[in-house]
Amino acid sequence: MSDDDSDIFFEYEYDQEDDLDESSFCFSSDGEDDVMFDVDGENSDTPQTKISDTLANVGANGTLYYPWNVEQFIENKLLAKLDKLANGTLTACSIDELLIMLQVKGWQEDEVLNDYFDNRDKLYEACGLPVGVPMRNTLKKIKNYSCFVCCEDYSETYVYSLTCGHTYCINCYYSYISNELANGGPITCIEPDCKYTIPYRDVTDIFDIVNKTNHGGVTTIKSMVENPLLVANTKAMINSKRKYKWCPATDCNGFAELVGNVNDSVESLSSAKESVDISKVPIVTCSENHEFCFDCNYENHLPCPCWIVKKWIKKCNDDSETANWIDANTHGCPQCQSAIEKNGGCNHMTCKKCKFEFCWICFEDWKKHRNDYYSCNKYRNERQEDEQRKNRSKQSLERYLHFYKRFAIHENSMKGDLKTMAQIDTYTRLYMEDLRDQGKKNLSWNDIQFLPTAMRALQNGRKALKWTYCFAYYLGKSNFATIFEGNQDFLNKTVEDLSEVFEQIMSKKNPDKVGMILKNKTKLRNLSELVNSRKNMLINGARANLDDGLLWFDNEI
Amino acid sequence: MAALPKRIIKETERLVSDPVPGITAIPSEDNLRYFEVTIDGPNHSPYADGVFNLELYLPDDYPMCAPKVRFLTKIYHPNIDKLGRICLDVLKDNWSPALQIRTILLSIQALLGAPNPDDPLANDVADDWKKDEKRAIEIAKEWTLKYATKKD
Repeated sequence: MSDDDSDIFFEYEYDQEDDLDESSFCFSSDGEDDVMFDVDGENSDTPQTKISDTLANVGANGTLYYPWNVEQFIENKLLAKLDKLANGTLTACSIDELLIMLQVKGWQEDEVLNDYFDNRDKLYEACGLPVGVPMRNTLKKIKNYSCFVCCEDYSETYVYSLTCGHTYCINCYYSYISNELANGGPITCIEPDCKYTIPYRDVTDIFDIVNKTNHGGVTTIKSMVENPLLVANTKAMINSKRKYKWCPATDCNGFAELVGNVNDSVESLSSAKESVDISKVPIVTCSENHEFCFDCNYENHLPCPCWIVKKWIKKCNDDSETANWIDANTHGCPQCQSAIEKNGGCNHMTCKKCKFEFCWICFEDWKKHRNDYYSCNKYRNERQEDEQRKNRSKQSLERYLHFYKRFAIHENSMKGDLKTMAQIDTYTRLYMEDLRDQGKKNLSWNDIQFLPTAMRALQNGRKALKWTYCFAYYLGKSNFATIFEGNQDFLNKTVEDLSEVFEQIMSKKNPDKVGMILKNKTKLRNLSELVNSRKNMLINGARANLDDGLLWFDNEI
Repeated sequence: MAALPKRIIKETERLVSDPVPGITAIPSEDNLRYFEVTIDGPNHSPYADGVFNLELYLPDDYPMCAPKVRFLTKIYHPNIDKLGRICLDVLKDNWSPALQIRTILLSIQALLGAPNPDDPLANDVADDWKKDEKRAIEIAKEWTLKYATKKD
């Protein structure tokens, strides 16, 4: 866990980039569009272990994995295989040929090698590469062309053909390729029964012309990692293999690769049904530092085990409509917050629970209305307290709502925090760039390193807090459960304190935002450390108590 | 509705001006992407003398995607199921934008002449076909007579 974190930090890409091994996952293309503060996740606090010459991350609970995104994966994994063949054993083949062969053979470079030396022509034929003749693909502009597929008559257009000579216009080829990409496999000539495969470079060229982008007609790493065919192929591969899992975060292009004997580990993960050993929950991160669980493919849900999470989500989905109805049709008592539905009568309300009298219109104390022209003195207490309504099902719904509300509140707050943090991020970045442009050196990036750390602490603190409500919902009653709730309160308070500091910084009343950040440096530092340690205390405590049987999940719930 | 692509207009024109023998395809007046199709059962097949009604729809991404074709007439065939769905490679993976409505309909006609029980869609029919081909052909003939005879 992160209380024994090593001191590896590389938030600002230009700080430590040179430390990174070429072969490692930490590829950053140009750094321009990277987010400066990684606000979600704690990848940079993640210890790393060296396995077979590449750096693997050790996730919470000791899961070994590589965090990737598609571009990094293509560059570091796939193109490395290509490089090995192109510059080592199969120098006679062109890059295009090698890429097609690798794709057909599922990126097993050994298989390509074996088949090549076994029977080159057979391999070429299987890959849709020309045998006995040179590759004669053409992409050229011609005049007065009628395309057989779209039936359009062009006065001038680009046309494309493979070695076979079957020619179609570039628009048709573009739509055809775009359409076929979903399959993730090699794409052949449009002509039926023609097996020639379209090479990667041609796809880049065709897309460049139609989209008016430019990769300059030369093969670069950028043109390769952006190649639609390679990207589609990579995605298909990630989808089909168990050792890869996409990051569940919205719009995230990242994924994680499990290291080691995947079948063993995946089985041991999913065999942990009904287990209370949360030290087995395989928490990993993607390249964007989003933490998620490799087993249930949900965000980091510690301290809850996966099966509790599934139960909870199912319950929330089942009951969310109920909760929504209650939200829409009831109002909390101003004093005790019990949900009250007004099903008729006047606006002088008395809470059944705490007997507080209030006005349904203004939610103020009813006494304030006494001398007003607005009078509800005809009110008769027709609805006597109905003890029977407080039956068990109501209680259990109340109990559920209690936890669900808090769960949902923290989920929403997480989104709010993210927004605030993005603002602070932009603000600070602009400020720092200003300083840099003016040549002033009075504040360095190192001086505000505490900021991203604090943001991460807040996000992770909230996430853990959120899941503690799911945890607490299923928890059986015991003294240790009370202690757990106490720790939960502590974490709650610290998280709110930390969140408040960020809010104050971004408050409209505060003109000097950077000044405020620096003024609050110690506070932010202390609070984020406190959040982290309280979060860890909560999770570690839960784990230990579950192990010892002092905490248990109530199966009745 | 978006304008009809030139490709569809041309194909439709040709289907009318130069029809395929034994096959008709008439676009619906309401929707020019929807065709009412008839295919004559091929001679020397259990479907001979039958006329089969089909519907054909050209999806938005036609010709990048295959047309959707379905038998409306009941037919006893191992590669055509109860709902009239057809198991034919060129309607699925082997579709190519260079194929056309007419080539697809010809392929379907050819499928009637050459049932392939080893790659079945209607498992029960395929089983019958493999167990007792003679009997299966008899049933196919009966069904043709019963459901696919021209009513003048």
